[in-house]
Amino acid sequence: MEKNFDYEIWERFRKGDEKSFSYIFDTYHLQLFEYGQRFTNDEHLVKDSIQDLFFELARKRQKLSPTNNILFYLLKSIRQKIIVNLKKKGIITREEDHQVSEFRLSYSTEVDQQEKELRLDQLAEAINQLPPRQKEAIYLKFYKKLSNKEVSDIMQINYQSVGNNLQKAISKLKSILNSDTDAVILLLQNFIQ
Amino acid sequence: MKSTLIDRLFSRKFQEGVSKNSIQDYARLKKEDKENAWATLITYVLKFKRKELENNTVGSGDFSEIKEHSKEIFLNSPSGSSQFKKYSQVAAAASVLLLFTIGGFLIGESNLFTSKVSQSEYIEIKTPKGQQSEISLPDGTFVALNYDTRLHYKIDQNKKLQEVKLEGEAFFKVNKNKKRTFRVKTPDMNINVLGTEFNVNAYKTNKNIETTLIEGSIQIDHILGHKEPVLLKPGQKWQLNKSNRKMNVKEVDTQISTLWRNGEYYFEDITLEDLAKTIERAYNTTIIFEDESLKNERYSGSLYSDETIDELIEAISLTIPINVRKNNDEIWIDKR
Repeated sequence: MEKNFDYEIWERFRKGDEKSFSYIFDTYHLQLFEYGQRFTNDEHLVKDSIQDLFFELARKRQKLSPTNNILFYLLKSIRQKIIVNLKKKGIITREEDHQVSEFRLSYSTEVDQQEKELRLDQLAEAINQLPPRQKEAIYLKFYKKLSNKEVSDIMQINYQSVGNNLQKAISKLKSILNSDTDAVILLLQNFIQ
Repeated sequence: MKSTLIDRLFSRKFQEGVSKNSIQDYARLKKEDKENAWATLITYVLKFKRKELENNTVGSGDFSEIKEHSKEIFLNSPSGSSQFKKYSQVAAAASVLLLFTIGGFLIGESNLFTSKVSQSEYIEIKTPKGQQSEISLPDGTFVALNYDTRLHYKIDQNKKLQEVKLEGEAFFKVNKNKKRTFRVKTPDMNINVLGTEFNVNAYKTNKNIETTLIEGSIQIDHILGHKEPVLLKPGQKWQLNKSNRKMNVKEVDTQISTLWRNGEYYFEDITLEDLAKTIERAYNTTIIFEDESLKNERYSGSLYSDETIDELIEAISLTIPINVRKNNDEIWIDKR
């Protein structure tokens, strides 16, 4: 494992250094809160999950495995905590399913003239309509800059399906973008007629 | 080989290249490379059309209880103190290695760190020569640090981050917050910020210090040798010559100022002396001029971090007549 900045901080925290623990809390808690809220609009449940997570990290620090990507480690852990808490509340019922029933990520379909011409409202709407699994994969890749391996780890799906999910989502978007060629042809035909 | 739409979409470099203006080029882009044009549109939507979560109202203050509680558990967790003692012995032995990656971060047990009265924490982050780093500060500010750069900040009781001290070069992306001003302090000037993106180049050993504003607005004050503050507009670069204290503001291509984040530099008419300093930082080496007059020679060109130092010197010697010999980590440069 490459010994980078995250690795050193994590080691210090595991060995009982209070400042490293504070640093980790300060740096990441809001990011976790933001990610957590994507699974549910129950912000108290998300806060409880963050509390569960940090209490556990504090208690078990010596037993934790090393990491050189703290954000990845914490995203993975908070997702599991949230799923457990959602199950407790009966919001997720399917026992063996690590998948969530919702991923709240949406884009504005209010567009200006130029955006309208490029049909970005339709593009935004198409992203809004993607299934939660595909939205989450996009979120983790695009905004959190994680690798496919890390995404598969977090979402508890196999490596191949990360690629498949992204591929499916992008094909959907492509089909919208591609159809603008047809629109131009139609327009031309109208002119000719 | 052309990269696919997916490769582009999830590449950091591509994402950073897409701005609000990028869609104006769509027609031309599409003619040249359809996948590239589509990736631009999708990136544009992901970047600029995302909706905020509806109930994103809980402030950071609400987490203080969770933090304090976790800390208590942390401090009382089994074998905390004895383990820590052992660790500090190990740490002493390994401090060379640690210094290499994170510098003084939390290593120095100075009084400032342990002072219970002020209840504040000083944190220092340092990148060595030849290494860059990206971090998020506790308030969400994103900072990319260039080679050989030191960032120092304090978190007070209320976890409010008011200012950071900088020596070296860094790119900042500060979130908008009307309730506070964020300040970047350097030895020769201060920058006052409301949510914005900008690049600061303030190495102690450089002749010039610079700030380039990419988005938002900043005010520069406490400028060495000047009483009046300077207000920068997006797209402007402010520069101060530390020796004659002359300053100027000009319109620039802001992308150039942050190329270093991709391991690239673009130099326009800089002195060989300043170029040498950049090379020293990037390659962790020392450059010695055998002939002083060479220092004022001028150079324009690019530097890529995947280039070896030999390749780079060869490129320089194409336009400037120099002879180079290497001696361990030192590079001696003489007139040819």
